[in-house]
Amino acid sequence: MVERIFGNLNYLLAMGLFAVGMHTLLTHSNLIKKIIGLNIMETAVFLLIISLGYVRGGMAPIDLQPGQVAVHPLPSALVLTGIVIAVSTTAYALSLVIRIHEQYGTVDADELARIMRGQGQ
Amino acid sequence: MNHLPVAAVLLPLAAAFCIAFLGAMSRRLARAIAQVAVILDLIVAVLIWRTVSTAGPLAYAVGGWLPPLGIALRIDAAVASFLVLLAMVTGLVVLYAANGGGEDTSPAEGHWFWVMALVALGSMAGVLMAGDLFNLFVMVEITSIVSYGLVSVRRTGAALEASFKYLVLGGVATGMLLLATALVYGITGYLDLPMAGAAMSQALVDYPYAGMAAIGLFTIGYGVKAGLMPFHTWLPDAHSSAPVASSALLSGLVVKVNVFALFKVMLGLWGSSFGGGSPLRGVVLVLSVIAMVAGAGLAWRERDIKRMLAYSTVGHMGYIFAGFAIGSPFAVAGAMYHIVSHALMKSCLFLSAGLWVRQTGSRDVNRITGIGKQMPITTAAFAVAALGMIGFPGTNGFVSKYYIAVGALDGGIPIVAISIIASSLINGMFYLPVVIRAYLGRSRRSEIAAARVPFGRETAPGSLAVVVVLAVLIVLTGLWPGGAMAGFLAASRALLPLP
Repeated sequence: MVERIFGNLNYLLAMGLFAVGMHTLLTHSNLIKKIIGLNIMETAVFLLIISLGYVRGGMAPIDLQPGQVAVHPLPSALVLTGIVIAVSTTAYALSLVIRIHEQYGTVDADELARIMRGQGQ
Repeated sequence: MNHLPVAAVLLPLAAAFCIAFLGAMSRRLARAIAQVAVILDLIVAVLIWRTVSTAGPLAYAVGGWLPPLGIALRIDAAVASFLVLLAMVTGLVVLYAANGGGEDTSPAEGHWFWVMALVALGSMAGVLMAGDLFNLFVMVEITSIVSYGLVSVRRTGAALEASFKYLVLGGVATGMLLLATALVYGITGYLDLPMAGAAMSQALVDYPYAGMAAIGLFTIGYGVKAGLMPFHTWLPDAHSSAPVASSALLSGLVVKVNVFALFKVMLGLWGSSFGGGSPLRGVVLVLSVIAMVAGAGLAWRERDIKRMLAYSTVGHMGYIFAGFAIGSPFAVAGAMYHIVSHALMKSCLFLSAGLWVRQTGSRDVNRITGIGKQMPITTAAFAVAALGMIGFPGTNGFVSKYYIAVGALDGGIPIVAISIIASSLINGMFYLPVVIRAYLGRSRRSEIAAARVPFGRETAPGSLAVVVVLAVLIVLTGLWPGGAMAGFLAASRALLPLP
């Protein structure tokens, strides 16, 4: 049992972090905190992918000497692409928050919903 | 080697890049580049379609690297038809927006609408062709980010709020899709869809939980992005607060590309749509039946024409999900055909409603009373598309609903066929009154006086021509479904495992 938990520790920790991120995203009404939650979720997935390609004692697969082992390079490349996507989503989300703040003077989702309802009537 | 598949992605992206830099100097130049790019892309799509229909399915190794090292683009008859549809609808929407467009369509915020429409065109072509899980993920993400931008292109308060909501839900879906992709890579060791699929049966024995988690995460992730019923909450706000040209792209194409991506992943990895014997298929079937009826019911309650059309999209996504979940060749071909029908119908509805809104200055369905006398052509186009939504024989909506219903009866799931009929009746309950009121209703003087623009003639001849072309296409694909439907049937017979 203990061995199984330690053997899959990377999965369990990544899932835990994913849950933390999702909890932050869903429970906080501050828009900036929602974006932070989104980033924690994405980081959890990156962590999982990186840990999939880890080889004990492995190096970056560049200029290897004989006898050295490399970590699996593909997951690192995937995470690099994933980070680019996460950064662009975050940048766009933050710029939206700036615009929303200019329009409504708030970054709180509940207050925003109240204002929108008021305008609708 | 034939390099057309890459051109279908790179050409719109390159044009978008040029517009982003040159558009700031001249709005007219931006508009010209956008129109030339969509026409060239349509030519590329038609050439790909001709190649595939004569030489059979096409596989293109990007950069000459074969899988598993490289990325493959795979195009069969269905994908080729969708590429033509994509180029055609995007092209028409761009022409509509470039030639006046509706009241809230004119891309007042400079050249960014063109940039985003073209990036969406390129990335959606990428989603359709991607034969590799990670390439698929990247293309889906580009499509999503551009869609958030298309919603908020006019930066009104409601659009900003809707765009943020869309982004948060889309962001959760992104995380799930990436996690699912990572799990599949972890348990099979491949990202290329056929290779991962071949390794999957053994991997499911070794790691059953990771496999099940991946199936669920893919379904929820793409379900959010495609507006499947319990995850549709972002859709009505996003699709109604965007300018109509954006709404036509989002409602007509983006959601469908995501369903097709889900279908491709399910089929590629698990060999049958929606995980074979897993309980997931039942869940998706139940959700899609609920979506068909409830989506139409929610649309019936709406008085805002754009929200009505947006909720109707939720209902019609139910048809497509149901067709794929039933999984018999007839139902799958019907679902594919419904992707085509609904893309043409919904863009026609949004664009003609945009012309109404431009004339009356209001999105209230009561305001269009009697508008059929002043704008007969626009109203006729709306009426044709509305009949298609109901599934009137002679329109393409009838053909696709018929195939899905027959597939459901063949597959021994009559409840789907029954709910298609129920949903069509509800569609009639809210589309027909709009058309009847537009043609036969008497407009009160007070309403005419309240209208911002003088009530009266057809506007924007270029945009009107686009709407008419869409209406004609709806009837043509309804009367002669032959070629495209034969392609879809052949594709779904080739894709689906024999029973």
